[in-house]
Amino acid sequence: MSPLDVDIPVDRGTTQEAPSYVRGLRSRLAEPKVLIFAALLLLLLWLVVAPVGVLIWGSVSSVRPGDDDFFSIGALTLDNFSRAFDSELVAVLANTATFAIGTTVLAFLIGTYLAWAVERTNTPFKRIITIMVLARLIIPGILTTISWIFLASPRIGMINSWAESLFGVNEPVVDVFTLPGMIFVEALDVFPVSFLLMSAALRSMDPSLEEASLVAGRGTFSTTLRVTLPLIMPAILATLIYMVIRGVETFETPTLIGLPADVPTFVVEIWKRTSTIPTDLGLAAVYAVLVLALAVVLVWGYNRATRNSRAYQVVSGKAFLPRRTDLGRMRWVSAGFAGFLLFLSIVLPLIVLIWASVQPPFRGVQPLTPAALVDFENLSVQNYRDAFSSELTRRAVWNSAVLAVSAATIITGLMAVTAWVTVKTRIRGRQLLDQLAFAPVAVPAIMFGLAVLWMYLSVPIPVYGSLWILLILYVARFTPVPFRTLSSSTTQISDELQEAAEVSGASWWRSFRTIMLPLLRPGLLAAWVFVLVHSFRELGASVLVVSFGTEVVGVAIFDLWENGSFGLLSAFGITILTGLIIASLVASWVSSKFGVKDQ
Amino acid sequence: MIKIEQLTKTYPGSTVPAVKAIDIEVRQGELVTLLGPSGCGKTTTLRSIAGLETPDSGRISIDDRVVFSSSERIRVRTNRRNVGMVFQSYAIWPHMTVFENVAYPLKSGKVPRAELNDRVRAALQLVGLSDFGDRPAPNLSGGQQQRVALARALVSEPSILLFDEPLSNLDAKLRDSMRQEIREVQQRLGIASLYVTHDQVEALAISDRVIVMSDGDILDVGDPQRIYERPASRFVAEFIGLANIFRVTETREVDGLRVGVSEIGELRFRGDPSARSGEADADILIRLEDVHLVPVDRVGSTDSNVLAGTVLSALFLGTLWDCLVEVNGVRVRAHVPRARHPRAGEQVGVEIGFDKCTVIG
Repeated sequence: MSPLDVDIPVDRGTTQEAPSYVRGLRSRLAEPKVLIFAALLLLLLWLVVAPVGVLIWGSVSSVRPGDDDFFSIGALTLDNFSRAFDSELVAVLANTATFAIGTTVLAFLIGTYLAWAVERTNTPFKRIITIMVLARLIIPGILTTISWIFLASPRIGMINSWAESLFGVNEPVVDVFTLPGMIFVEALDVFPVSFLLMSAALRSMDPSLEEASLVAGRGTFSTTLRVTLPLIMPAILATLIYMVIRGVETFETPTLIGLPADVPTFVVEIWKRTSTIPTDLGLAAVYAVLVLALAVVLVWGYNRATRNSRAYQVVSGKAFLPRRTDLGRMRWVSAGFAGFLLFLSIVLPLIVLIWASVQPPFRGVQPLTPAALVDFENLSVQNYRDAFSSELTRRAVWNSAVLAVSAATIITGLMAVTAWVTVKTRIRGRQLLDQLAFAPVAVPAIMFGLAVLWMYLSVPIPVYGSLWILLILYVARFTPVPFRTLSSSTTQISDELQEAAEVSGASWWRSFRTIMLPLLRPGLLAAWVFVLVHSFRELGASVLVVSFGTEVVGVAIFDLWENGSFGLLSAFGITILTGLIIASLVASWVSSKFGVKDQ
Repeated sequence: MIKIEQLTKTYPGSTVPAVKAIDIEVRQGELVTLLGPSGCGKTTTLRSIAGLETPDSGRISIDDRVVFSSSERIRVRTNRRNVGMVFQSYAIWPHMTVFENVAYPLKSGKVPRAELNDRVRAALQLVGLSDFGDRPAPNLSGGQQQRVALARALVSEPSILLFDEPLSNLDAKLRDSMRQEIREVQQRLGIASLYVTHDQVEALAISDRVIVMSDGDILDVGDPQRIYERPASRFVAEFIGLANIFRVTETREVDGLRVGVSEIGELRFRGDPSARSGEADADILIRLEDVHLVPVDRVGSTDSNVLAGTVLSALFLGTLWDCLVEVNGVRVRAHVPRARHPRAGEQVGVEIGFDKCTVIG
């Protein structure tokens, strides 16, 4: 950048007669884009880097965060690390890796199969399949995890009692409290992510590349193997890595199933060390730093994979009419298999949850049988009455709603500007901003919670105990996906559209407000809804940060589970879900009505 | 009026300047084109005038007002330069109606509502879109969108108009008619305009003067006819129009004509009187329409150069035949009138008038 690359403001009124240009570089700092850049940089450093720094510091400090001399150099020690590196660490690492990779592989297979069936075959009921997969995204993972415990626990599991009553099997046939059980439950929760990523890759691939192979005399199988697969390889790699990161950081399944099953993973260990007596904060910090290191390596791999995919230029964002394989009669088999997967993932857990919600309070969850179903005497709507009247649930819904709407609005606004700075300006250091906005992807949820908690215990900013600390946490944690969404939307808006506004005499703010924002509307809405949904189902980071009075929905369900209030939590969960489904229907109606049509 | 002095720009990460210390002047009422292949620096120059790029050094003034000067450390922001610009992609805002698009430049100037309406309507009328005000902009055809872009560029009565390859996204027929319209509007308003294009036909048709650029340098400046007939260099000759160019050596003077030996044989031509006999070799430019096919028995004529050749191929282009003739082992390209159908293998005389051989370089 030359020293002259600054806009020098000129007083419009006086330029016509005598040139009174403001000279020199004094005004450089006053330039809007430089100011905006600096403000965003400081904000992201504060939101993301500072808490992580405090946590890392905590891992090498012998003093508890919040104590006066937490930041004193004298307290530095490697003691925490030397305590961490023992035989247990190997087991934790092995469990975490097996769980994350197993989940990824299973979820990837399910997601990719469904994506292929929907995008590239003539499997019937495509729309219903897509809608159900998307609906799965908004169901909080903790609810389905609990459902599967009701279904497949060795003692109270309905599947086992069905097996007993139907076939007289006395031994449990399924046991969710195992590592494979955890993988199965988690994969059914996260496969929609791989569905979305893979269907985007399959949809945006230029079909003429495959047609060229067919014309060249290759069969469908050979074409898939030699053309399709290599072309979408970067997308596959990126999806796999992203899923592994999610598998490492997820909270619900490892805690609810892994803890009683005695399958310790990093998340469980951090949770145990910070919330059950005796606590060992130093060791928790070391574990958190180790997970962070692991995640950073994975994100580095993710960035490499997605950079390569740009070099391939097949995921171009252009709309093609993809080639669809005619499955013949097999299309019904394909639809049936998809239906089976969605039944396991959505329908069955929801039925169980509804069943659990109509049990009388404190009776436990009875196996669902035809006889029990018509035994109206033993059914009750009391749980729903309690869900609507309980202080905890009402507070949790209110807190989550306030947090979700605020976080969604703040993040969408911030990331729209951040995306503009990183995509449309040539300010030096904009890549740093790009990396900072994407960095939270590498910070596992529970670690983020711990980091934010410790930071605000150690610095004199009185947010602990209020909703503010949760808002700060959510804003910091959910920037990456909205940022990527908005940068790709911003990239698609031609530079000339804003340049035309500038040439027409519009100031930066006017051109951003009247041209960029309206054109970004679909991206803004997508980003907003994403944060809303994810804030609402957030648990892994909040669980360490909430205090009495600031419970959120996920944490409330978790508390109810720990108290054994199964009926109440089910009724609460079903109520929340109904609300979320209505909200997303409204959102999709709004976006179809007010979204800018694609050209 | 636009005046550019010693404008230089190197993009970050590049070692070669995109624009090398060029001087350009566009006088009042004049339409000047910047013509050159992609990457020649023409768009950089245009964008520097609009303030969308910041040059490294030099000076730009619009109507005697300095908008950029490296030595005086002046850089007026784009939105304060009062220029009208038509973009290659039209840059019509898809979320606005035609009227809103055209009215946009006026709102920032705080124009009263009634005056705004009148001026937008006048601008739309000027480009023939009076009835389209309420249309959503994306519902227009390419040509109509380009007219909206033109109306938007004109509505604030800018000091100058800038065109960045405005017709390159239109199909050939529409391009022809839009070219005429742009020229008419520009003439009627008498506004100094700089027009960037890589299409030499467009440049010749529309301009008062053409500036040919290559690799950041200006190679030739002049009115279209002069540029076509007497280009300043071999590059310009090849870039503008179709050309046969032959190298002649051993020139001497005979009967007031210069005679040189070229790869297709001996050529007689009217030389530059200032050049001395026997001096350096020269490139001879012969335009395709100046190569005539005549009966083979005229070979050796003294009225003009007539060389023996064999027709290699002839493509029918509608108005004429695009014909390749081998003369002395070298290919000569000729545009032959439609009526005379050259056949491959035909023995012909290739006639080139003495004054149709232009010395260049």
